[in-house]
Amino acid sequence: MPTAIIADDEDLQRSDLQRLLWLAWPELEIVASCEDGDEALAAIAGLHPDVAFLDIRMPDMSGLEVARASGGTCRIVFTTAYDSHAIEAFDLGALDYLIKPVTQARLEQAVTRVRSQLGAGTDRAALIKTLVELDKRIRPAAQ
Amino acid sequence: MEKVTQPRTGNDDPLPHSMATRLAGWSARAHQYPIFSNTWFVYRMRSFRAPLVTLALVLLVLAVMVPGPRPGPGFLRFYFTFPAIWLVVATALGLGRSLAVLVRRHRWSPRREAASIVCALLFGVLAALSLTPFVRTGGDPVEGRAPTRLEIEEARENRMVNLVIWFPVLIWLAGPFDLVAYLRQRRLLHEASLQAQAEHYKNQRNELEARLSVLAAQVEPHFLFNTLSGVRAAILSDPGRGIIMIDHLIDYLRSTIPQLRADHASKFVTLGSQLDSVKAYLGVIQARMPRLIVHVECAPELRDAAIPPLMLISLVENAVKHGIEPKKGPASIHVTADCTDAGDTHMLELTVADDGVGFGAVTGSGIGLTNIRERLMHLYNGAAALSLRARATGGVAASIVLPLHTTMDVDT
Repeated sequence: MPTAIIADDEDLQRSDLQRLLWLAWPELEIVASCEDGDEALAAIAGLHPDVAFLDIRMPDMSGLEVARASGGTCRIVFTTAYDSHAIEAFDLGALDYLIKPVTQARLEQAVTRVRSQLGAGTDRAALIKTLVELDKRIRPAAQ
Repeated sequence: MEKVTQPRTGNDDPLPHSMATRLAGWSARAHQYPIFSNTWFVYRMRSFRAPLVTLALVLLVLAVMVPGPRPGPGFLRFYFTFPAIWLVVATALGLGRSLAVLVRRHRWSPRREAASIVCALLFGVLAALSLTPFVRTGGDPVEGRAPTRLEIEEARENRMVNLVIWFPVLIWLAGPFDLVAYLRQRRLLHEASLQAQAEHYKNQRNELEARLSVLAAQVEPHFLFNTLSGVRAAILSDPGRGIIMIDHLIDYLRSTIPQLRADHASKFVTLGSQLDSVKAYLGVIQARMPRLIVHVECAPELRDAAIPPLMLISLVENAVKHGIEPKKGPASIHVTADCTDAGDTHMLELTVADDGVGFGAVTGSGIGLTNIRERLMHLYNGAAALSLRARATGGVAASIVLPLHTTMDVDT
């Protein structure tokens, strides 16, 4: 089952996003709900979620800093009321950039994007596995 | 575009400082007022007093020293010449100018006024000229017999000579230099008033732009959208909290948005209204972030104090954005209004103090603060100031100190 963390300094925003995610992607498991940047970074490092939904303006560490510090170990979707950080966010390899308030339709779009990424990830792994198997089988035959 | 036809300086107001001379004397004092204004006329006439008295004395001496005709019919006429000379000069000096002053009182259009003043001065010259026949220069017919042809010719020649001599003198006395100076001065006044108007509009535009940018900063993405997002979340999880947020947001928008309008002409609003606005704003923030503690203190009698709109809220917004939001855990913000005495003037001190992360984390471009400083400079001409200091307990205190007025003082 896919896993996610949510980080936002406002409790209402966290519960709002959690509810919207539950509607858009029922099988997604929210493994942590963090209220600042430090917590979010620790959760990414400790829980290895598939995707992290990060607010940009948070105490201690901004969402952008968390994304940079996590070093691409996790897919990132930013949620923020600011539209001015978008370029920096995509430079950091973010999958999507959601501007608050996030509507159900827009979140579903983001979820589809994340899912296709996750799906592509598994497909590619399976493909590589098959190729390796084939290679093993063909090599002796060739010799 | 407003059409400017008349200089904005009143008929009788002193000239702008740049145009007034600083010399002593009646004549120079006259030049400190618009030419052909009442006050100018009074001073101008006083400047003629000494020459006219001197002329009267000279004429008196001449009347005594010049041998006159024997007592008889020509006697009175001969002695009437001396007061007549004085009268002609005085008329030339005074009549045209006083008529011009009357003309100016009508505040006609510039072209009509100039033409009328020229006519007034010319009328003065002609009136003075009409008095010149009383000035006798000899050639009077001898009583008791008809004048000879030679005598009639001589008398006509005398009158011609009279006119030729008097006419340029009277024109010179009637004030062509005043007329030229008047036209030049009017042009300069017009330019000065246009410049003042341009300056006025520029300042007005700057003030409105300043207000607009303050409001845009608050109402735009961060505050409004975050609040709406919080409200939507609260609808399901905590409807009571959602209602509190919406109520504060309504109060805030209702008190803030009208201050942006251009027709909200007043440069000043009451401190009370600004504090209400601040309370509503902080109410929204507090509902979103329950970790925030808010204190707003103001003596009731200070609520009528006049302050520029949207300045206090700008400081509060700054404190929330740069001090409170980046801080982890409980945070507080104090907004206080105090009256302090500096010499004999009462000053109003508005302070916004937070216990947030302090200057270390300030990442903004400081446009908000520069904006406030510029507005204070423009509105109070250096009598008001904005200062920022780090607090010993952590966080930042921002203070605006400005002269204490009530809105009643400012409006009247």
